[in-house]
Amino acid sequence: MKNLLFCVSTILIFIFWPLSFILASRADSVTFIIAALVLLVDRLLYLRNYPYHYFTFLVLPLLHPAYLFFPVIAILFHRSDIKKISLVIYTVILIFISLFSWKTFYAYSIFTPDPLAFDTLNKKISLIPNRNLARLYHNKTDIFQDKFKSNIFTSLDTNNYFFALHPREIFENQNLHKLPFPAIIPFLMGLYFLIKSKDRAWIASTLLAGIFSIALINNQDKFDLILYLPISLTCLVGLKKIFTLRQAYYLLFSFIFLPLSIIELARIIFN
Amino acid sequence: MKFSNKYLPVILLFLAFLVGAFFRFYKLGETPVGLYVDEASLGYNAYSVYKTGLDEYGKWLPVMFRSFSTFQSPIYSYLLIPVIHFLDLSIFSVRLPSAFFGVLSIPLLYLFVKQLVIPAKAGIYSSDSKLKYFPLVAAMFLAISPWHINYSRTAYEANIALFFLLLGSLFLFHALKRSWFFLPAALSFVISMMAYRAEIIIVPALLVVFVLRYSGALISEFKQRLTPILISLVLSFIIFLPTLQIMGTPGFRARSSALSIFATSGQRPWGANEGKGLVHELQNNHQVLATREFLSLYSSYLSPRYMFSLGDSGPRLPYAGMGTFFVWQFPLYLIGLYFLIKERDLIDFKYFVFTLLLISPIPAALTRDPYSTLRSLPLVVPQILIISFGLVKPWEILPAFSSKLKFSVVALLVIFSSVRMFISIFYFNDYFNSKFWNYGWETVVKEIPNLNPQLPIVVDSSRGDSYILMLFFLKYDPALYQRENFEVSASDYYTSLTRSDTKKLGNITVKSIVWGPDTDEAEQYLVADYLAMSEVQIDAHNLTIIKEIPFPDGKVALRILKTNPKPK
Repeated sequence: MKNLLFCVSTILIFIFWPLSFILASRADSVTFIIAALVLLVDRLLYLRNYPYHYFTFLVLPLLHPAYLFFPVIAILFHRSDIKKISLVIYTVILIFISLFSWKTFYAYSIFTPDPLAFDTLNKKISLIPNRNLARLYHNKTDIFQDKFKSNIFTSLDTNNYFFALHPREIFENQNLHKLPFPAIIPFLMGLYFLIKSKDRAWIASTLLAGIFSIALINNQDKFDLILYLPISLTCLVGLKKIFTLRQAYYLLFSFIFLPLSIIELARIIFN
Repeated sequence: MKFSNKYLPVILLFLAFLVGAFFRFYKLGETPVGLYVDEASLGYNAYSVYKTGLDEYGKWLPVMFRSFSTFQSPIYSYLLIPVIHFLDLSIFSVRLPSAFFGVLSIPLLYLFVKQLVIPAKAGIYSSDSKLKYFPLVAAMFLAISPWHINYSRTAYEANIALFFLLLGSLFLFHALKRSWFFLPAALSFVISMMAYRAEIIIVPALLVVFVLRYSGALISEFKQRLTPILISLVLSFIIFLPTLQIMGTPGFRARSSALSIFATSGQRPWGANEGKGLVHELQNNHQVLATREFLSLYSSYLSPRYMFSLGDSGPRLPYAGMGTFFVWQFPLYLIGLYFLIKERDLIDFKYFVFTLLLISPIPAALTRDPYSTLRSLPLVVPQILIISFGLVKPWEILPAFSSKLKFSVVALLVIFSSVRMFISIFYFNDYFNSKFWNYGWETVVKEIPNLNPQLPIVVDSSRGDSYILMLFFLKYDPALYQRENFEVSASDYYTSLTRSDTKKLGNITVKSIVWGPDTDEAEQYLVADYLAMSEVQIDAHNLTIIKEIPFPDGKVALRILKTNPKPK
């Protein structure tokens, strides 16, 4: 009974985001699904203690140049385990890839010119009577800073994953229902207990690399599927913890979680 | 003890107080430019009660003030009466109580945090303890909080309610040592509940957690505590009784019924779809969807995206380019949360912070508005305390850097943020947000003496309750206004929500302008905003522009026009 409840809950958590993504997306979404699968491959290699698993990250910018910074950021978390020669090879390949990816990355990135934001910035600067003060507080970096900040906080927003960004949905975004909303319970528990989990290194490194790399992209929509695995695994950490509690607790959780999640699943399938 | 060690906390507290006072009082009557109708309603009703004892509708000393089709809590309006007596009716005087209690909240928070932290940790205020600066940091962060400043610079009842909520909490913790403090605690809580409706949910919930947490202490000296507690409860009940009596009326419930996400009438919950059949019924169950919406709104109040980036979605509320907190406070928030969860010594403090953190968003999350910083204002306290804890706690455990260096970093951040906020409040806000603050009506009123007194004036009200702005800026005689206008009888004051479309203020009529009869047939002045009277319409109806009042960005805000009817 306990195992059955755990398995059904796990399946519901893991199928929700991909299913929702496939049902809401068009043909061009294959790239993003493959990118998420690349992380899954890396995860499997990591679990098998394959020492060069991080080389899989280099596939991501080949899939889509907008992922260019993922391997750059992700490797920072693994640098202590990497031999010097591997690091050199990794860097050389990365530089080689970036030669081809840079232009497209720039077009997708927050650094691409934004005339509307530039006009607003100029207006703000003109309103400040002291030029030096204006230069210090409101300069060209404001545009990138604001976009980066906005992207980072969107990735850190629980409403992004459990409530389709409600109540402040993003215009020109799928505002996807990524996980059933009751999954917020195992997610928060998972976050708290992540520090004690043996999976913490892989989850934290891919999560942070994913968040920071897509923060450099102008519109994160669809690109954020790269966070699917670390987010779902965080939920799994919480779910495991719930099922180690007393029977009453996990039964209560299942009583709330299962019917509501099935209804949520039905909503994304039938709507 | 060195002089600097002895007096540094006092000096820093005074500095926090000064900074807080500056941001709350500087150009209070000028920025935000204009006056929101709710502020005008609070001010004019206080003026009316001061002059006649009756509000604008002719109700004698109302328990709740009727304000358009809803009701406002009474405390703010009654607090305004002495202010109006000394300073007359003006934008400054209407905002003064909010700014005053906003500033007083700074030392109050200092005292409260000190009260919570001192008994918990022996020797915490010894000269070597870094946590001795904790209350100061909290006070300073409140002093420069964009969220708290926003509501201190505008006439909103929520700010007064927050002050009394804090005061009540301070007395409540004192009452654990001296039972007679239950009396001022109860009085403060009742005032808080009467000052803003969100506190009607927050205060009882806070008290329940308090009783559960301190049940042992309360029972152990039950006999000594019984009399003060009973007297406090009876007194609170008597004071709150008039509010209780009208709580069931349609007037009191109008706003909450219209906004509640659990209301079965009106707007359907987020995500509801049209359709029929069993599957559809399962998917669109009203209570499930409303609960989901409630949870989404609730979690938004604790989300860094809303706190540090988006801020409030209301047009008048966020300062341009600023969230509810400063971005650099985000890591401190995470650190503070982590250490507070792990904290073993400051249990009272921890209980208070987490209780208020979890309770405060409830009233706001029950309504549809996304991240309403007004309805969730008490949340500013626990979130500031967490951020402050996130700054102070690592100081205690991190390797010792120079104290001067640490102070310099914090001072730099405070100065940098203060200047940024200064720019946002005093240079950007009026430029970008003036249209949401009914800018221009004061100028319209100043222009009226220059118009021909023989001609009637029609003021357009199709896009808002402009009559209250006219009443406010004209300081129109309340007795005269009550005689000229009738909207509801005193007996139906809390029950009937019907409104009259036309208001008479001497030769000024406030109503929706009717094209043709008002623009072409009678010689009169028309006052309307840029949307009601465009250039095309002015030409089409042969109107003469007497005056155009521009927004700070140069676009037309309001127009005073004269009709030129063709001779019959």
